[in-house]
Amino acid sequence: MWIYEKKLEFPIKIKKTDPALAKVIISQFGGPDGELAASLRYISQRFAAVTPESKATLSDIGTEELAHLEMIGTMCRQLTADANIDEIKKAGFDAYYVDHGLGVYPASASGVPFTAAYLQSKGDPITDLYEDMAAEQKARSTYEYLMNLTDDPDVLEPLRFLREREIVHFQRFGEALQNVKAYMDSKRQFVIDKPDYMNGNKSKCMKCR
Amino acid sequence: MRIMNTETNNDMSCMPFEEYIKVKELAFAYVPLQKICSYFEPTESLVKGTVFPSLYKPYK
Ligand SMILES: [Fe+2]
Repeated sequence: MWIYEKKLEFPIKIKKTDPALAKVIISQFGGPDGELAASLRYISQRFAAVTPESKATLSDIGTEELAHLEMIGTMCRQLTADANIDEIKKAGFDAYYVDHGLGVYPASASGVPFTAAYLQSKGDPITDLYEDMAAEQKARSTYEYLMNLTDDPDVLEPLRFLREREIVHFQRFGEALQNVKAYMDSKRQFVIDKPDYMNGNKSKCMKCR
Repeated sequence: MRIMNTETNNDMSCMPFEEYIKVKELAFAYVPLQKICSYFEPTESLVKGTVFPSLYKPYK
């Protein structure tokens, strides 16, 4: 269950129209290392998590990535809302405009529509956490590349905030990894049967939820 | 937005991570668990993106 708060995680008030910038920032909306992929990845993987701590980490960060998606969508909208046709053409935003107008559509900077192929949900809690740590690093790199492409402080501030969140997420997934590892290695598993879903036994997977 | 710096760091000898890591095997990654030493002020944390000075690693 979710609770929606009618505010952004970080305020966004962009004054300068810049469709060229919107064209690249959209990648963090629906691109390969974007917030939608991140959220969907964690919210999917959470069902195969084996400890309450790692499940909570995936749920919480998956939820926060949705708040980041909202921030990125807001940025794209504010960068283009007042753009006239000349600005749209000059910025090379015309190809996007033809398909989506000034709407915010989940696609990469190069125009590839969002696909779930950007993420995995492997059913192995260790493997999934390694992917999550890599995903946070890829998102951090993307934010740095985006920061290299602008000097508008109204854009830089939220980008800087989002990049910092990726660093914190990496740390939390790293801690979740140790938590899951300790659970997997714990003596308890030699005393009681592992649940079916930890043995890759899908046919008897009664506890998969 | 002005970035303040109001870190409440009382103890400089406090390490913000576990200091002793027992390596038990190859082919496994390890991120040290965080230990809390100090905080930023709440409003400053909301601007910076973290309440923990030890996790604040700005790009430029
Ligand atoms: Fe993240």
